[in-house]
Formats: sequence, C-alpha cells, structure tokens
Amino acid sequence: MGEIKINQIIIVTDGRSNVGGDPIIAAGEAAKKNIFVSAIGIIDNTDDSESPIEEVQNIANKGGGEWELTYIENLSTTLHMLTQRTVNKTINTVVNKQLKEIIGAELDEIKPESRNKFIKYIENLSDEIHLKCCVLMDCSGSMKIKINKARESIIDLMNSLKARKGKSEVAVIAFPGLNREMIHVVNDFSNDIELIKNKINNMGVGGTTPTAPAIYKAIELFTNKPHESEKIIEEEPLFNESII
Amino acid sequence: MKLEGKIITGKWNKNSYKIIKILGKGGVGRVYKSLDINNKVYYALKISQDLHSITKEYNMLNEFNSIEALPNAVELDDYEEAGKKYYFLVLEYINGENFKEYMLKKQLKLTEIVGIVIIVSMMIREFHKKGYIFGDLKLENLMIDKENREIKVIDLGGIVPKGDSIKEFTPLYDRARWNIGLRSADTKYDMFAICIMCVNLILGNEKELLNMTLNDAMGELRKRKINKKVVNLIEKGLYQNRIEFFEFIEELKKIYKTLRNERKIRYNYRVNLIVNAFFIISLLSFTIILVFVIRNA
Repeated sequence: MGEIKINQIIIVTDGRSNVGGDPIIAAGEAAKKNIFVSAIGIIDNTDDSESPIEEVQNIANKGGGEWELTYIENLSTTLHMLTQRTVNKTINTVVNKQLKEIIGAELDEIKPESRNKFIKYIENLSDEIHLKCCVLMDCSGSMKIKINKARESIIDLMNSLKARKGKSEVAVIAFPGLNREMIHVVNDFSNDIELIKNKINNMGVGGTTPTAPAIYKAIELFTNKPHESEKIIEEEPLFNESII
Repeated sequence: MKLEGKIITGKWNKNSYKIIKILGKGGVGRVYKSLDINNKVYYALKISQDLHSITKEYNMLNEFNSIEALPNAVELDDYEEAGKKYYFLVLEYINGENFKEYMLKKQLKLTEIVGIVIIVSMMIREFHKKGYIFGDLKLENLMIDKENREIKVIDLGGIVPKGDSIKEFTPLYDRARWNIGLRSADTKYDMFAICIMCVNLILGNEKELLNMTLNDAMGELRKRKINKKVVNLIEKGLYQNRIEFFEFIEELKKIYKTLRNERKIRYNYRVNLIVNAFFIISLLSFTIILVFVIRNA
C-alpha cells in the first residue's frame, strides 16, 4: 500500500482568526483535497474573551481532523499526539474499507480476540506510511511570550517523525508573516531537522491572525497549484495590531 | 460519559460489571474499579473509544502473562451506549497505590530504590527479548500491591515493536525532550526512562526535576551523599554512552549486593561493639570482685 499518503495541516493558534476570510470554509476546501485539517488551541489561565475553542473545534470538524486545547508548556506532546491520532484514524478508515470488501465486516464487527492480527498490521502500516505535515503557526502579537516554546515544539515534532520508518516531511507556515505580509512560508516540505531549526528562528511575532490565508497557502504547498481566490484576500485591508 | 454506578454488559461474552469508582484517567481511556456481578470479584476495568489501544494491551498482557509484575488480563469485550462504541478490558484489581503517590508520603531508602529499579528493568528486559520496547514508563504506572507487597506495572499502552517510533510518552521520562536522542524504539530509550525514574525517586521532587537540565539533575544527585556507584551508573544510562541494557542490569545487581552488604557490615559492627563492651565490663567487674575477695580473705 505504498500509494497511501497522509496529508495533514495542523493549525496552532491562541486566538480567533480576524482577517483574510473564514478559516472554517478554508478547512472544508482542504478536506475536499484529502488534506486533514487539525487544530490546537493554546489556552492560558487569564483571559477567555479571545478563547480559540469554538473556532478550533469548527475547523477540525470541517477539516476532517482532530482538535485539542493545551497550555503552551504541553504543546510538544499535543502536536505529537494529534499527529499520531490522525495517522491512526486514517489507517483505520483504509483498513476498515478493505476488510469490508474482503470479509464483509469492519474491525469492530469481528470478535475481540480475533482482532489482534489486524491491529498488528495497522501498527506496522502507521509507522511506514508516507506522512506530510504542514504546521501553521500563529505569530500574531499575543504569541510574543509563547513563540520560543512554539519553535521548540516544531523541532520536537521533527524528533518524533524522524524516528518513523516511513518518509516524513514537515513544512512550516507563519501567519502573519514579516513586513506586513499575511503569511510567510518559513519552510517548504523537508525532513531536514537542522534546516528547519535554522529557518524557524526567522519567525517574527506581531500583527493580526489571518488563519484562512494560511490554510490556503498550505493547500498550495500540498497540491503545487496556486490558490484561485487569492484576489479576495488581497482586497482586504491589513491592520497591524499593536504588539502586546 | 458518566459510568459510576452503572452496570455494563459486554456485547460478546455477556458478562456484567458494576462500575464502582474511577481509579485513573489516561490519554486513551479510563480505568474503573468494578464488581463482577456473577462471581462478586473486584476487577479493574479499562474502557476507551480507541479499539486499537485496548486490543493491543489485552494481547500484550496475554503474551507476557508469565511476568509476575504484570496484572492478569481477564477478558476483552465491547460496550455500546448512546450510539457510541466503547471497548473494554478487564484486569486483575490491585489494591494499592502508585509510586508517585507513595513517594509524596515517604522517602524511599537507596537500597529500596535500587531494588525497585532492578525489578522494573528485568521486566522490561523480557519485552526486549521478544522484540518490543516498553516506551511509556513512569512512576504513575508503577503500583505497590498492599496485600502481597509486590510491584505491579499497570499500563502497557506505550509498547511498540523495536525499530518503530515511540507512540506514547511522558515528557519527564522522554529522552527526546531532554535532547538526548530521537523518539525511536530502542533498548536505550527504556534505559533512559528507567534512569530518570531512579533520579526522580532519589530526589523526591518531580516538579523541580521537570525544570532542570540533565546536568542540573546530575549535580543535585551528587550533592546527596549516596553511593557513588549508583550516581555513576545513572549518569552512564542517561547519557547513553558505553553501556548496553543488559550491562546496566548486571551493574545494578552488583550495586544492590554491596548496598545490602554495607548494611550488614554496619549492623555487625554495632553488634560487635556491644558484645565487646559487655565483655570488657564483665571482665572488669570480675577482677574487682576477685580483688575484694582476696583482700577480705
């Protein structure tokens, strides 16, 4: 089953999208192209006015992915867990479809004791499958004190993926980008930890939260096709929020 | 889903369990103390929506049922409620507490710590022999059985075949988090976790340990006046150089023996001292009495 590839977008954000279109619609478009969109909301104990929870849930639901809320300290573990869950879910779906074709039953319709051999097969597959993971990192003003931990967590995800048997590639997009750009492709798909390490140090912080444009850019990286509705994005004004 | 007080019946084997109270909550599922309605025996029931993880754990427990430190697996079944599917696994109930709780109440002696680490290491070595890596070792999953005074390991969710990537981990025990190596399943991944566990038990403060670098932790360890051999072995295990897993266990066993002997020697020394003192005192009194008797004669 070498032809299966898992495409995943993971959005890491600590607030709500506030410019550049609707990220939930964008997530839906990604899902149509077989790219799962998962989302992690970073929470803290202080404010709940800017809580990312609802948007994070909606993005993951529309994008066919998983979602999770976490404190910045636990971002590394959450990134790892979410990726693992997406991989398992995808493979379960594939294997269930095949089982249905071959024996006419899905895994949970087989007697529990007989599930073992399929479980072993799934486990093996999940380590060997080609995985492409695009991390969309919120770099808006409110991320200022969290960005170092966020950088570390991307490197840490690479530490997890590098240990897999299968090919794993990571791309990183920052939103907003430097110099008043909506987005900045920090790094296109690569499996080189050192390269990514160097590049993510260039991620600056400050500005708005253009989540939708970041998702469209990620779709572009996956499909190698420019996004059609780019014009709409350009028409919207970009306010540079005060840096908190 | 609130389960306490409910009776759940398995879809396939039709056994019913009354859910008594929650024992633990993990990333995958929950564990409840439960009562088998038929034979009135208490069990630990682990339930989750993750078919994969529950099935895998059941199979692992069966494959390694000869290891005494593992609880017995009783059965595996499915349960449906409100249109949602759950998978559960019934385990031997262990009456006791985990070492993370235990540590807060009582500082263990070095000999005890080394003893515990040997038991855990030897169990993990059995997994290695069959081509598996334990993965997610932590104090929370290590229990002390109050009735039998035994150590039990309660969560096998992190086990993966050698050579795969680690799927479940806890940052404190994860070598990648400490910048020591990749999250790949090899015997040294487990050795690192064992060593951190050992450091944690000796220092007795998990929160502080989480904020230290590996060098800080070693420095703290050296400040405690404990056997140098233990400290050196932990250092080797943590930095993963020039030591294999089996050598690590051999070394531990040797240290354990010397620690036990040291205690014996100290004990003997004290006993000797007392015996000698008695001897001298009685000799003295005998002489004094003798002198008196001779004088009076």
